[in-house]
Amino acid sequence: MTFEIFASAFAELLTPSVFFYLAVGVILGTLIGALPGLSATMGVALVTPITFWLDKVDGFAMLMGLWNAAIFAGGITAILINTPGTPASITQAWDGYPMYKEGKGGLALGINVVFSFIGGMISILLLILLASPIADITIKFGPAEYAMVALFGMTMMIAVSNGKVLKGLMLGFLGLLLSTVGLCPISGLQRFTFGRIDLQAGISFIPVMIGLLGLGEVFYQIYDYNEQKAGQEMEARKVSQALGRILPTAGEMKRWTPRCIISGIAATIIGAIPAAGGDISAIICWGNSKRFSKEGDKYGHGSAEGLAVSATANNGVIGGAMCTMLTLGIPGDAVTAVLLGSLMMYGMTPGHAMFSEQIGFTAQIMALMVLANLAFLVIGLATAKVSAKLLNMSQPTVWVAVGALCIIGSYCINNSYMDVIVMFVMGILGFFLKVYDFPSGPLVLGLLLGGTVEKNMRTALVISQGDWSYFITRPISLTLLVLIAASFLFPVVQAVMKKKKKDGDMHEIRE
Amino acid sequence: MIKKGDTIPGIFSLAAGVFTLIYIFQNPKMVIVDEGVIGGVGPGFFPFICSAALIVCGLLLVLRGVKQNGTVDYFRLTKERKENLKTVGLLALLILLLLLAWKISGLFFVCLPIYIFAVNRLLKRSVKFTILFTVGMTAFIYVLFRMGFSIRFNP
Repeated sequence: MTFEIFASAFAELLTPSVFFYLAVGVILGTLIGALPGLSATMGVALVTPITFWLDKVDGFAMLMGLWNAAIFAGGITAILINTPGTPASITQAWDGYPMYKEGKGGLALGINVVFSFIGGMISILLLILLASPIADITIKFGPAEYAMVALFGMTMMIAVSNGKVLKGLMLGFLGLLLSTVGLCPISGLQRFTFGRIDLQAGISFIPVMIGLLGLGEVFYQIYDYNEQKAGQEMEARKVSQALGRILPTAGEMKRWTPRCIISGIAATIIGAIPAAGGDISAIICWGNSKRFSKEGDKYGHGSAEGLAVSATANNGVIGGAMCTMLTLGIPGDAVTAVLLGSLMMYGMTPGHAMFSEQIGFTAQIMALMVLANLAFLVIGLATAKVSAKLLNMSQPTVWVAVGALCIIGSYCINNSYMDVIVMFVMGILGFFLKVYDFPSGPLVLGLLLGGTVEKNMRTALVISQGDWSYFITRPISLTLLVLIAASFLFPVVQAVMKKKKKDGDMHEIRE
Repeated sequence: MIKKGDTIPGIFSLAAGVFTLIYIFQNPKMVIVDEGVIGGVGPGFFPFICSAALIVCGLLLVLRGVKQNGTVDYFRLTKERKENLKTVGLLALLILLLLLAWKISGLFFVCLPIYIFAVNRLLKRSVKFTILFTVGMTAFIYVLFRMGFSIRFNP
């Protein structure tokens, strides 16, 4: 991607409508990120249907604004009420909340905004520099390689299972099964449609996401609601404390920035690994920074440097996740999974095409990410103190609003009543999955990548006239196959080693 | 109440796998592997793999549930959670009623405020708040989706 392409994409974005939708996205993202229980994924899933009614660029402006702002805003609740708004903000609570209690709440909020911006910008810069060379490799990809890439993405169902491998695998295969509903990609045969025309196009991905992550979450939050605990939390939120100054001094910025640049680069690399999300990135970067910092002992007890590192790492994953999504079509995290679904619904195929035929739009997406970072920097700093008031919104109000938006959002994608039914069924399934401690990530991965795996694998078999060795005689396909085997075997070997170590320890204790 | 642990999700997985398998074998066009088919793999291949995997996972979950021997209970129903579960059930019922009423009448913007009003009351919000919220939310949705995006809510 040349500078000219990027500059021209940037210039095309300088329209009032793009700025309007970007600002709407940032405001919505701040609201969603700041409210505990609402995640960036849920926000993007709910807003995506609306974007289909907008111009493609305006729609993506809104989504990019929402996503980037929601990730940074997750830190607001972490700092003010010790409750991470998003899982990735966990380390921000460890340092931010003690700072707030010391009367440095304003500075903590300011650090969160400024260093989230720095993290975001580092990762976008790396995305711009690295995405195109990676995409160039994909030009050599045929159906066999695409099938293997998608299959490799699916092996991540183990990684996103949070240790519940069997449950994750079960849901992954259920997702894969759901992806086979509709017309067969090769023969055109109707599968599992039960005579319904509206199922011929298959199960739409977005209603499933809205149901699982939106309505399912609402059901579960109601089920898990404790009036007394909620009352106490509300009281804690209303306690007014002096927030103090917001902006860090030039000296503080100089002291923290080098460490944060390293964290930003590390976070981008972690973000590029499928399924390694902001939470993993924040913990790894925070932990390593604590180990090597002179003030490492202060980390976890109100260290401003620790908070800066966490905020950088948190937003740093975005560029990495986008890199994997745009170049290989593998979602780096749940939000990119929804965005991948949106891209596909716009008729785009991630991979080399995004950097050849669609290069203009790809450059616009990257430029929108830069603008989204700038927008949340301005809006975030201007509203840092006001944002604390957002937390006064009660949970039942959020439930009613989210519930209604789930129904409308799922209908809007295709004007399909069937999509609302799918969303409702998935909402109920999502509730039971949470109750029975199932991770929903593998289901989403299975549904999203199942179609790509099947279509490309069967196309490859048609080309090779049914010869399965076709997958191991092509070097890239073989490499990917080895990676797939490794990613399947690694957790198993790890579990066996852990068990052996545990048994050994028990034996020593007995002796 | 018997603590069933992973047994129930295991049974569901097993049932989904068996159902898929029956569907494949009852439909002669759902070929799994056949040399006569282009590429040697038919439209039933992937569903078959999935159904087999669901059956295996289901069996393993049932086994795990039996091994847990009542030590794991996901549905820990305290008094408060029992009440909450009723609310969840009623909310699901209200959504179902909204969908039915919308399908039958076609009047989404009549059904929606009734639904929002009922949900707010279900969640024990005050009458004043409920009325204000219902009007505000319905107006917001109407302006944004019906007027802004010209979406016709025809089921």
